[in-house]
Formats: sequence, C-alpha cells, structure tokens
Amino acid sequence: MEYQLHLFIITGIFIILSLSLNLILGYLGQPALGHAAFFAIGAYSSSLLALNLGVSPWIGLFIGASFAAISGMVIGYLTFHLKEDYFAMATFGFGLIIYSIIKNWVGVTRGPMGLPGIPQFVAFNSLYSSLIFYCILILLFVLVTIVFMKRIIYSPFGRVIQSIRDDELAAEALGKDTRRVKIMIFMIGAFFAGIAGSLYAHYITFIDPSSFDVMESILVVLMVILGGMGTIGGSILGAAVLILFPEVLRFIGIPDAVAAPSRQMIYGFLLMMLVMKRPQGLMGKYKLW
Amino acid sequence: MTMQTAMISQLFLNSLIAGSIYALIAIGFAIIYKTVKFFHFAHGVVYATGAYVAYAFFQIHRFDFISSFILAVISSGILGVGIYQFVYHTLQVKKAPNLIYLLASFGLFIFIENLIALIYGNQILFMRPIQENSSYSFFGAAITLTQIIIIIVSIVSLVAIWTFIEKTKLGLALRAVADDPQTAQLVGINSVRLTQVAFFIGSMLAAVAGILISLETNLSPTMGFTAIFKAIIASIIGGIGSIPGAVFGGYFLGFVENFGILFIPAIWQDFISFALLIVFLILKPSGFFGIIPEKELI
Amino acid sequence: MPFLILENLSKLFDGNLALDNISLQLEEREIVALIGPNGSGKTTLFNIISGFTKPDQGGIIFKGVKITNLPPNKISRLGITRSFQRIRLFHQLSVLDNMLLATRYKEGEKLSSALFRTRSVQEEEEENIKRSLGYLSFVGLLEKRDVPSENLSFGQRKLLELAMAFASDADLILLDEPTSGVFPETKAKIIENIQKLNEEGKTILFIEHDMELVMRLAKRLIVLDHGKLIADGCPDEIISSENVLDAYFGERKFYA
Repeated sequence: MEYQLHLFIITGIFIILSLSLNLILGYLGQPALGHAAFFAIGAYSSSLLALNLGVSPWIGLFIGASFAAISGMVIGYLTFHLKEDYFAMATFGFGLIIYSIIKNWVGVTRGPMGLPGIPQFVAFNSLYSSLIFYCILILLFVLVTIVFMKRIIYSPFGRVIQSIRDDELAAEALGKDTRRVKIMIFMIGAFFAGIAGSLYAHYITFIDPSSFDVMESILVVLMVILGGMGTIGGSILGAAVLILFPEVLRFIGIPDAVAAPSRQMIYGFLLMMLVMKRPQGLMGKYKLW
Repeated sequence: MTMQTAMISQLFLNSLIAGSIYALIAIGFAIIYKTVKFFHFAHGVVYATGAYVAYAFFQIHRFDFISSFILAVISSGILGVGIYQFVYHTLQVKKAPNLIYLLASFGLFIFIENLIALIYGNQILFMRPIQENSSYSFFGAAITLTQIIIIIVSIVSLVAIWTFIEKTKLGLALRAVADDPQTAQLVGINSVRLTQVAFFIGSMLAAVAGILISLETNLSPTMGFTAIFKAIIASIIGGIGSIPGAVFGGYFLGFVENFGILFIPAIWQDFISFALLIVFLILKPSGFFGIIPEKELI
Repeated sequence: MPFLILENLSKLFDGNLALDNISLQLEEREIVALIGPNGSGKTTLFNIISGFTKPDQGGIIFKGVKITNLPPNKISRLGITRSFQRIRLFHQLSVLDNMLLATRYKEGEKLSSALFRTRSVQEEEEENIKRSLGYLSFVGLLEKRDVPSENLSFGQRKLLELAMAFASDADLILLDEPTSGVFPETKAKIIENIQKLNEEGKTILFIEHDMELVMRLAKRLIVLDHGKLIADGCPDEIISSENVLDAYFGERKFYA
C-alpha cells in the first residue's frame, strides 16, 4: 500500500508539471524544451531556503515558485520574438544552463552530491508527515491547478492564448498584444512548475541535479504531447502513463541496467512517432501541426 | 621557454585540436542545414555511431585501423542518408513546419543514443591505434603523434570539403539546391538526390570527427549530445547556413573554451558554451557571417 | 484632415524596390480599389499600412496619428483591420471563437478578467456573443458557429473573414483579394457585404484582379506597377489609359 501511495504522490506532482507545460506548449503553442529548469528552480530555491535559513516549506513553496515565475518572465521576454525552432533551441539551452548551474555551483547546491535532509511539509503540530497527509496535500494542489488552468483557458483570455497558437500574425492583426500574452503565459507555466518542484523536494527530502536534466524536460514534453495537447485530461493521462509505465517494467522484473536505456529508447521512439504520425496524442484535441 | 609561453602554447594547441573537431562536426551540420533548412539534431548520434562502429571493427573484430576508419565513415554516411530517407523525407512530403523536424530528430537522437548505451553499456571505452613513444615539443607545449594526426586529418578534410563544394559541379548543384530548390529542379537538378548527397557527406564528416576525438579522449554513449551542441553553437556563432561560418564558429568555440579557463574554473566550460548559444540566438541569430534575408510575409 | 495619408513610401526587398515613393490620400467612407499586375507591390503596401513591414522611407498618418513605426497590434486597435492574401484564420478554433477574437473587447481579454469574473466582464462577453451570432447569421454562417474554422469550405472562410471585419468595428478595412477563388454565388454575397460595410461608414481599400468587380464596387482606382503609382482616379478614365494597359499587357497591345 505504501508504494502505491508513493506512486500516487509522484504522479500528482508530475500532473501539475505536465499541466503547467500544457499551458505553454498545448494552448499557447510554444515549444518550450527546457521546462525542467523551472521545476529545478522551485525545488532548489525552496530546499535551500529551508536548509540554510530555516524557512518553512509552505513559504518556501511560494518563494520558489515566484523565483521560477520571474525566470519564466525573463526567458519569455528574451525569446518571444524567435521563430519556433530557434525558440525551441533557446529554451532547450536555458534548461541546460540551469542544469549546469545546479551541477557546478557546488558551494551552494553541493553539485552532484545533492541536498539531503530537506524538511517535509508538516500539518498542524505533527512531528512527521504521513503518506496519507501527502496524498491529500498533492491532491489538493492538483485540483487547485486544474481549476486555475480551466479558469484561464475557458475565457476570452484563453481564446487569445489559443489564437496565438493557431496564427500569431492573424492575432496581431486583430489587435492582440502577443508579446505580453506570451510572457504572461510563460510566467504562469513556470510558476506552477516551480510549485511542482517544491512539492517534489519537500516530499522526497533529497534532490540532486539528475532529476532536472535534459531528459526530464523531454519527458514532460512527451507527457503533454502523448496525452494530447490542449486538453487538461490529456496532460493528466500523459503524466500518469509515463510515470506508471516504468513501474510496470520494474514489476515484470526487467533489470535496471537494461530498463533505463530501454525506457529512454521508447521515449525517443514515442516522441518521433507522435510528432510524425499522431500529433494530437491520445486525447487529441489540438495538433502540433 | 617561460612558464607563461609554455602555457599559452598548450592552450593554443588544445584550442586547435578542439576547434578542429568542432569545425568538422559543425561543417557537416551546416552543409545539411543549408540544404534542408532545419536542425538535424540527430547529427550527434551519427557522430557517435562513427566512433562506435570504428571501435567495433578495430577493437572487437581486430580489423586494422585504416579499414575500420573507412568502414565506419561509410556506414555513418549511409546512416545519415537513411535518416533523411525514412524520417525527414516523409515529413517533407507532408510539408511539416521546421519545428517538427527538430522534434522528430530529437526523438531519433534519444532512441539511437540509448541503443548505443544498451549495446555497449554505460562505461567509457578507449581506442588507441597509435603507439605513443614520446611526445613532441611545440613552442614549449607537449603534442603527441595522435594529436598531430587529428589536426592534420581535420584540416585536410575541411579543405577537401571546401574544394568539393566550391570547385566541383556536384558541389555547385548542391549549392543550387540549397539556395533555391524549385529553380534547381527546373534546370534538371534532382533535389532529393542532392539532399541525399548532402546528408551522406555531412554524416561522413561527423563520423571522422567522432573517430578522431575518440583517439584523443574516449567513447561514451552521451558523446553525441555534447557534439551536436557544439556543432549548433558553432554554426550559430558563425552564421547558420554559412559553411565558412561553421568552420569559423568551430575554431572560435574551441579557442574561447580553452582560453576561457584562464578566467573561469574548468567545470564551468560547458556553461560558457550554453550561454554563448543563448546569447547568439537572442541577440544575433545570424551570427558573424550569416545573413537572414528579410522575408516578405504573405 | 484626410483619413489616411501615405507620404513618400519606399521599400527595398533584397535589392528590389518593392515600393517606389508612393504618396496618396484616402478620405473617410471611400471605397477604393488597388490594382496592378502581380508583383507590383500591392500586398507590400497593405503590409506597410497595417504595420507588418516597416518602410525604408516615408510615413503614414491615420486619423491624424503617425502610425509608421507602430507594431501591428497597436495599428489594429487604432481602427485598421486587414485580410491576408492567403486566408489567415484560427484554424483549430470554432467559427464563433474566430468571430469573438475579431470583436473589440474593452477589458474582457485580460488575465484578471479570466480569474475574477465580474458582472461587467460577463455582460461584455454575452453582448459580444450576441453581436457575433448576428453577423454570422448575416453572412449565412450561423449554423457553422461551433465548427472548427479549418473545416469550412473556401468560400465560407472568405465569408467568415468578412464577418470578422464587421465585428472588428474598424474604420479602415483593407481587403486582399476578397473574391479570388470563390464561386459566383459566394462572390455576389461578398460584394453585397462589402457594400454594406461601406454603407455603415467604413472606408474600404481592396486589392482585386477581377476587373468587372472592380468597376462595380470601386468609386476610385489606384494602379501600381513595379512599385510605382501610375494612376489614381476615376475608374472609367483609368481603365482605358495607356499607362495602365501597358502595365498589364506590356507588348501585347501591339498584337491587337
């Protein structure tokens, strides 16, 4: 039972991450390939604040997400004018820069050795946090995220977001301030990725750069595309499938040494096939092209 | 020879070696980009495949090195053409936007890189065909026979390719297809066939680079990633789509990285590359020598 | 003060002079046709007026405001709307959504309005939906309102474009080949709608190749050739002038 609850929590965290990227990739149509950077900023900020300054995880969560949002704003501002493939490379590069920083700034982040002993979220006056508590916490955050996303998307503002995806030039011709919208969406997407990062750090209690590398960014992109761009249900499905699938492999008893590269091979193959043959993914509402 | 001069010489040498490798992989990437106008990210695994196939023939099957080299280079050329034929061409027929090629290429890259990891495992492999008895001296710096060969082979390859593109009829046809595929088609040039040629040549160059670097350092499944990144950065710095630009960018990158350690700790070398990428993409996407013509929108 | 003033506009593309010192003025409520052979610079002129291309020389004044270097979305908000030669619609969004995007919103399209749905925001949305449905009904697309615009026929898309021009409440409407490629029935509808727009007080500048249509609709003709303005005036006079025939038919007139 414990392991299932753990899976539930991890899946929930990645659902939030996936939903946050879906806003940028699925609804706005911007191929952001460095999303793990915001996940990392949330996780590391929150952890470092807790470990070095004794900041409560509740506050750390908010601050970490805000840092992520600010980075999102900066990146959005610097890259909004780039054509899609150049934009993809730039955001990919940004993901690498953040990864490089957390790996090399050993004085602060302890580099590859990671940060152990991150304090968990505590409710009321409990001395420890039970798994059940975490499940409820994550569930609440997932629900809040879903409600927030729906509110943005099913509104005139949400229409404007999608108009940029479908034809940015036409949107400008109709008077929409596409630059401003892009930057805002980047901020919001980054904010929620930061929340996911913080939730992750304060649950797992140990983070190191390997959870925030290139493949992590690609994995989130895959979740959004596999589930189906521009559908909330799709992001949830995509996250669930890609988190639970490796568990299935482990269950059948495939050794880790084989499992890891095989898993990545499947991800690569899946990405290629989805992009080439089924850009609308499983729940297929909007297409990448 | 003072310590200073010796150090500068060593850095110069290292820059030359790194720069040559980067230029080699960048020029292959640039030839392909110039022809098809999208980012062939999978170029990185072609580079890695070249090294691993050479390793397989030389280290495992005990072929002599020259044969291994040739077989590996040709196999990579074929792999490159295969990638074009079975992945990109399908997308070209469907008139996919540029981003889609990049994503498909990404997926393919991940697939092949991990295939290599599955077959060869994650450990680092070595390939040392040249017996090093002593090193030579170059203005106070030490240079091995391997390094000399790397520099010579790189420069010879670069010159050979440049000659091919600028001075031969096939090279001219290639340039025609790159500039204006429709007009090229009208004068009887087979764009598809020439794109295959571009991929074949570009991939062979990548393989040469991969094998050369393996002689100096090692083989690892993730070598392709580092390589393609350098190639992209070099191409963007030099001007995307510009072949001399790619060569310039490669050497520029090599020199900045190596002389950079005078100012920044070595572990931040990668960071410099990534930062350069972003800076150029954002501020000057046409690089030093490229021109992005102002296009009329419809 | 003239409604739209173009002063000495020039634009170079890759060494070619796409527009060569164009100066002209439009008054309010005019309905003007912009004609000329392919490549004469008509679409470039549209792109410059609407802000998508910046001129190398010269300026534009609209309703007394200098708009030469403004971004396209600001120019649009000042009251200029345009269609594109290759129809640009939001293909995965519904017909109604396309209309709503064209409609003028005071503050409904902000993030804050999405999060905090005040009374006035909701009322604005309802009002705009009503108006949009009205326009859709007028052009005959009401029953297609929930269909993704990519599923419309070519003629229906042209009609949607026009309906969106209505909804935009713009004062100056630039139409790039509004009837090219449509069946005669749709063409008649489009003409009818353009006339209606003009009657409602809109100024219309349209690019067309169909001379019959031009003669029917336009009260004034502007002719471009190789980026130069070669005629500007009454349709009847211009259509038989030598310059214009020369531009269109080149040496062929000698074969008559």
